[in-house]
Amino acid sequence: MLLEVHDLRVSYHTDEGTVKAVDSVTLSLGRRETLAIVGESGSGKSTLALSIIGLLPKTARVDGSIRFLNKELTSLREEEFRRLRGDRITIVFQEPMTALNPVFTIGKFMRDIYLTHRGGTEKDALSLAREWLGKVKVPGPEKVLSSYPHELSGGMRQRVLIASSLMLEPDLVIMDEPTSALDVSVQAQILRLIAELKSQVEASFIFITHNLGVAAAVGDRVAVMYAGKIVEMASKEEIFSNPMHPYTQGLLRAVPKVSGGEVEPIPGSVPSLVNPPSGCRFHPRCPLADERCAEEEPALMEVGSGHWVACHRVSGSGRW
Amino acid sequence: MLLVVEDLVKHYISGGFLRKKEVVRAVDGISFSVNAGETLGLVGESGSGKTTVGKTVLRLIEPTSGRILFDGRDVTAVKDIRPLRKEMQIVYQDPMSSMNPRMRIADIVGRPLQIHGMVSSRRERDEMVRRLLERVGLSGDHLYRYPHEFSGGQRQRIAIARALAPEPKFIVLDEPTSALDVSVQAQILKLLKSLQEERGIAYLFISHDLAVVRNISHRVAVMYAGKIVEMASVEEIFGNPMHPYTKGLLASVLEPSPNAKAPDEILPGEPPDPRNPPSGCRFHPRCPLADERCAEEEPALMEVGSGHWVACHKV
Repeated sequence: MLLEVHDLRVSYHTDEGTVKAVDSVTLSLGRRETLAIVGESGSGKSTLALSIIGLLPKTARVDGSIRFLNKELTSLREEEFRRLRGDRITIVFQEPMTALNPVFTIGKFMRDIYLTHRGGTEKDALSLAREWLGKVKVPGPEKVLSSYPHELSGGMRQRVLIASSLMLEPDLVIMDEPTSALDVSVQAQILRLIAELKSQVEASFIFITHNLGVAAAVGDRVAVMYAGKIVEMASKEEIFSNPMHPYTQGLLRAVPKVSGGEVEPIPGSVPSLVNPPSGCRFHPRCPLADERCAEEEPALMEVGSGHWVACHRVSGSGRW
Repeated sequence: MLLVVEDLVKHYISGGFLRKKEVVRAVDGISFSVNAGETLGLVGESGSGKTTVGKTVLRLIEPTSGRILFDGRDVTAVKDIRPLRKEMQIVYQDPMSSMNPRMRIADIVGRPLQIHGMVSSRRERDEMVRRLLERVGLSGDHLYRYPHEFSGGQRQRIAIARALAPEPKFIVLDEPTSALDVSVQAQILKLLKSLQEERGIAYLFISHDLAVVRNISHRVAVMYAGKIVEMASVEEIFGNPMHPYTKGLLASVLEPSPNAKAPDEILPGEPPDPRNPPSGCRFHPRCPLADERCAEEEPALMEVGSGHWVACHKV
């Protein structure tokens, strides 16, 4: 396994109390695999991503274990993490301007990544940058190298960041809602590009999204998060043909489809993470909930080969 | 017909002082109508002009030219817009942007009731607000709370209650569910549909999300770079799309299914800058079918089947 996250808990202290953003998350990721993590706001999906790449704010408390390339990341010194980040683990954010410095050209941005981690000459750096801009199908790579971020469209900036995240041949690329700020037609282009690049590189991907359609298009496996927990995880085929958790089922019924059909809302709204519901966090919104659900927290159990569900009401040969 | 829009144009001047003045062609000559009790979905990507259309129809923005008739009255010509405002309301994507954070819900929702002289006492007003809140799925006890005490979905319910207060015939819904989580979005869509059924209100539903538009609309107009490129019943638009842009958009949408994959046939390029739209058909630089004529001559929106309008030389 490339990445093994075990019983990860991330919390923050705020004026309102302790926010348990991620609560007991366990997952693993193999080589060249893509895990899509899907969830609504406050599900903890972005916090999980940031904890893997070591970009949580200093106020965050992290417990549990994240093993990556046989290193324990939760106890890594910042100096060591900086060597890993941008080299072995990279990230692409929703808003490219988070990463790009408005006063530096794209060429300087990409060159600096190379020189920081590889050393070598400026010429090597620029030639690799040019090669990768070609791979992400930026028209006129040479001109883009001398452009400033604001001179590029949103779609082009995202291509630049994808090139930058892949050019050092990382082991793990985290994509945090990379297409959510883009127009539908441009989103489709970027997803097509990512699908093509995936077959050309050795990296594994964690793809964070709120969009079930995007998760289905990119993921080999899909994990569904709710209120800081993974409630269901399975192969893409399995989760969309045989969703078992009432929340996953509810989401699939709530999302409008271009093929038509009625939507069925999930009652209520996403809970507060300062004071989450007792027992199963989904129980106040769940059509199947009974007394046990309000009292006892369900564990994530394997109910079929590679299909994990955290629900008291899912029958089957559940094993721990 | 409740609302008739004829050849609506809205151009802005951008720049000035040290920067070159440029004309932004946000909306460039569009015509459509909305029937009583009907939902017209207006769908488009960024820069398509869809939001400008919504605001111009209510004269929250003055049109550059064109005619807007509401219930037989000329919206662009009336001196006092207030009586019309009672009948035409708007709900925005971000309800907080249109709510005074220091006002209580009773004042926010009750304001239109006072402005239009629909209540004679505070007690009467609060009673009506209470009923409105309950109708949109909130507790009447929320009357004396402030906007920040509510979740995004609840705030959108408050904005809908405010829009309902003056008993309008028509509401512009500008991306009303785009900032909401999927589970909550479905609640708001259901609410809007049941209110329409109950009160016969017409909606102009503006959205970038084709699936949402499919869910709520009776008819759909697709906008691109300030123009309507296709307009038809919801069944026609989704079952028999004719404009290459509509087809491309539909092919770009991803649905959650076990055999989903990244789309194969996709539109190249990005939506154009409305300060400098392409010549001829504005879609031609991205169109798989474009020829010389498309680059030179602008196609008119023509009726190609009963109620199905397309602006394309190749159809």
